[in-house]
Amino acid sequence: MNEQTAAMGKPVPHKRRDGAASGLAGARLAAVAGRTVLWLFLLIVAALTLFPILMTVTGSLMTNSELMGGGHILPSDLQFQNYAEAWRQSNFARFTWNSVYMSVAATIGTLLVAAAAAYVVDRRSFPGKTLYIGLQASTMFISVGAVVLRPQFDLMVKLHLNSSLWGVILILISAHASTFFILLGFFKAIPRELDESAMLDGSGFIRTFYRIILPLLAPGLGVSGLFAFRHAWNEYILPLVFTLTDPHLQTLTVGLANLRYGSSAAMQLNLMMAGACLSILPMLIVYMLANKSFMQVTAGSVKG
Amino acid sequence: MAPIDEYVADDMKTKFSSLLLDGVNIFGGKLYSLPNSGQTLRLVYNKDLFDKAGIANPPQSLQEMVDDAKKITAAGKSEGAYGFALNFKNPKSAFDRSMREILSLSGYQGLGYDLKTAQFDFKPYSQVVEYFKQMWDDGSVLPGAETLDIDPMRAQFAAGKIGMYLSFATEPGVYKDQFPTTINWGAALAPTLEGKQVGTSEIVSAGTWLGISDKSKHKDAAWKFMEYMYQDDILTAYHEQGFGISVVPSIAEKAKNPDIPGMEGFLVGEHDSIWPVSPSVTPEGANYADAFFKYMLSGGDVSKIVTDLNTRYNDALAKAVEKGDVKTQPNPSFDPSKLGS
Amino acid sequence: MTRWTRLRENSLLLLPSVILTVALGIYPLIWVLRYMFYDYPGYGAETFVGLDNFRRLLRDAAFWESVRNTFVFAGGKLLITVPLSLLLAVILNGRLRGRHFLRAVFFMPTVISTAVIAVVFYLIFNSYNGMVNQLLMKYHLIGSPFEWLGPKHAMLTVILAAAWGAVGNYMLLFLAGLQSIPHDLYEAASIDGAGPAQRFWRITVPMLGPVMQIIIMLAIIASLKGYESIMVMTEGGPIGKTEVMYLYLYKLLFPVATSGAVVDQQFGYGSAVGFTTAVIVGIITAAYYAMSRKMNKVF
Repeated sequence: MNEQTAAMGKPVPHKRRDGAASGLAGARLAAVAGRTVLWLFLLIVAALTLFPILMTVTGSLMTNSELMGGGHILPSDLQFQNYAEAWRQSNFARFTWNSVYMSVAATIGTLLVAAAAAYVVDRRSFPGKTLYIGLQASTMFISVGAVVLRPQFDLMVKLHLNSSLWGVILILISAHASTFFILLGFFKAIPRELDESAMLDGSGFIRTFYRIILPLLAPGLGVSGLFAFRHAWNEYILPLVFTLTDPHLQTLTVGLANLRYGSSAAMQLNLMMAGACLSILPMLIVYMLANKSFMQVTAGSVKG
Repeated sequence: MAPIDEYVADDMKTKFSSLLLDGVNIFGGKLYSLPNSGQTLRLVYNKDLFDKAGIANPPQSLQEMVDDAKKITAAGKSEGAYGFALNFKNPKSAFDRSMREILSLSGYQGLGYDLKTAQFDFKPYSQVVEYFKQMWDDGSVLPGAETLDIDPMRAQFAAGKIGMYLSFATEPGVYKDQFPTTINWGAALAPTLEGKQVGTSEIVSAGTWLGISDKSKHKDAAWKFMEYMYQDDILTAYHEQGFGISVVPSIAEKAKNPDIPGMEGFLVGEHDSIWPVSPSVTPEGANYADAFFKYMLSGGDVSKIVTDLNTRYNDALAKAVEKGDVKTQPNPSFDPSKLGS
Repeated sequence: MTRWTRLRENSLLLLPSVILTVALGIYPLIWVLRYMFYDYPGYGAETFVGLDNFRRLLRDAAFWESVRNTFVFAGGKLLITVPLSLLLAVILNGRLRGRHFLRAVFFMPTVISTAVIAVVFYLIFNSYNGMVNQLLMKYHLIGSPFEWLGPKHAMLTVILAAAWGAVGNYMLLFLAGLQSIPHDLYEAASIDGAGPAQRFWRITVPMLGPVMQIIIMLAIIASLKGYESIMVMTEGGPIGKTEVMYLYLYKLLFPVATSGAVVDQQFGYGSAVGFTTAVIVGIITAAYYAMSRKMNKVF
């Protein structure tokens, strides 16, 4: 009984005193059987989860004939040069730089804009506050689809920003509603008295922000920054449409998907796999270093 | 562009006579350019797979093509080789490189247009589609062909997995550089509806090469340059070095074969010619390729599909004519067998 | 601090957000609301056509087919994702050895771009040289290549790809919800003799009610709107079998990757389609919200 309890909630001090020896043994058997089924289930799901990633990694280390030739699970020799090939041949350096540039700029911009707005909404009163909050919430839910790309693109052309990635970056920043709400939650947890008393003591706004608010906000910034970065890094449709006439601005996601139509996809599956790994790698590294934070924020957003 | 009628001498005109067509290089009664090269369309086939299946010659009729595809599949399936494939991921691209030559050689315009009535009529088109559907139903088409883009398809052909397909004269270049292959392959005229050649196989992207800008202040000098480039020597070298297949009969006859293996099957012959231009319109709803490909895969009432396509295409045509985007002129005396003479 | 300084500060802080949201979020919506009454090919003349675009929409069989496909896709994805993620969350909520590691494993797919996931799934589920078919044939589980991306099974494959990338996310949301249920409830129940199944249905499910309502709503919206992975995997599938609403809309206006040019960009009609899809999603969300009201009651 103990193990089953443990699987469903906190372990409970075993208070049952009934059960003859055979009854207890029967219960034990059921418990073990239940446990085994559970673990089997978990392992199967874990295997299914890891399967595509593993296939991509092993595929990227095979020669093309091994890969196309049917049913090899593991490469016989590790062809690390596939990565160098894919990097060189398919312009991955450029794609990666574009992705990094775009994601970093979008993240910093989103954090600045959302944090500033969240501060005002939490700490100050102003006319139209409810309207503003409603506006932000509605942008999260209303979606008319790809049509909006056209007016957005027109705006960027008018601002002469369409020939660099800044058009894309601004549009990414404009979708700061979720970051705003997350930071709003964090602001609520910082007592107002702290900055109010500091400012009463004559400390200017900037100084207050820097010395008092920022340190307390840091975890919130870190965590929502991670999410903003992930969102920007994995964005596909937006950079796709905006770089149709400027292939040198393409990001990793766009570049990789495009490879599918080129001849290398047809002839060199192993290079395509290597390319896919190159695209996944940065985010995977960030994830492994910061996975607790990712999970914390996803959880937090439900409570808020 | 500026008209060149006054520059072109008579003997030059005869050299190109069969290739001067309204809507191709003649507009509003004036000549604007002269032809040089173009793309022919052919049936591309794997000779090894044909041998293996015991077929001596490439098919001449669509029924033969269906039967051949079945035999090749039966003989080659265990090794993953199938009789037929096309880049069906993009049905329009697939049909526009296959239906076109089949239909034009069978005496019908290759894109569903009826030159005699200046209206769209997809009935002949649907008759060819029936044979394609038969191949699909027989299982003679490479599995997954509906997800094949053109390059992956070529890769499969180069790997010996496909018995035959149809395409432009771009293929020999592809198998020389992009997908080098060890199979024995060749090109032949497309099969026809009845097995007989009633019309001519359409040459596309032909009819124009160089022209003189309207804004040029040195039209005479520009013409001198054009005249020089259109000389026999230059045109012949262009062809022989593989820059493009010459469509000019006198050049095509005498020039040596271009240095690309397999190109000899694509050279302009007595059964090739340029066709009069047909209007290009966008209908409401699915285009002919999507509609017919859907029919190939999931069946349906083909006569209903044809009627629906005709209605929508002719509606779009009427609208385009009304807007002035397109001009049409029925030609009741059009005779496909007289093209190219 | 003077009133004016405060006002100036407030404005300065709020302005970037307001400007960006209005210019790039609200203005495009207004643009759509205007252009859906026009015929606008993207360049050149725009002609006012009143309700013509909507009349055309009613005639457009391909659009309604895509609506049907969207429901199938969303339904399939939800059917797999929600129960599975809930189950995983429940299992991994307790004291299981290695649960942190397992949580990390299940969450991993969500950090990868859906477009990249789609490329990977396309490569391995390919009929003619994909690794899945090769393995299946090698171990004689199938005789000839299984057409994962063919007209009969493409929808299944895209649903699998979408579910694969989504389970981890919802698992975590459920975990958070589960962790807010007080443990004493479980203790008291098991003292009273309740078995694990009873504890699940009588405590976990009802307590989870409000959170589950929100999570399922988010899941519904996301699965109705998702089209990126389908676009990269099948471009709408052989003969439109996997074409969902938002993908149909995208293809009216922009080319898929750089391999095809859009023949006829129709921003007027596209706006009408976009508006209609947003309305459809809104109706479904509202209907769900109304129907799931009792989930909010916690007893």
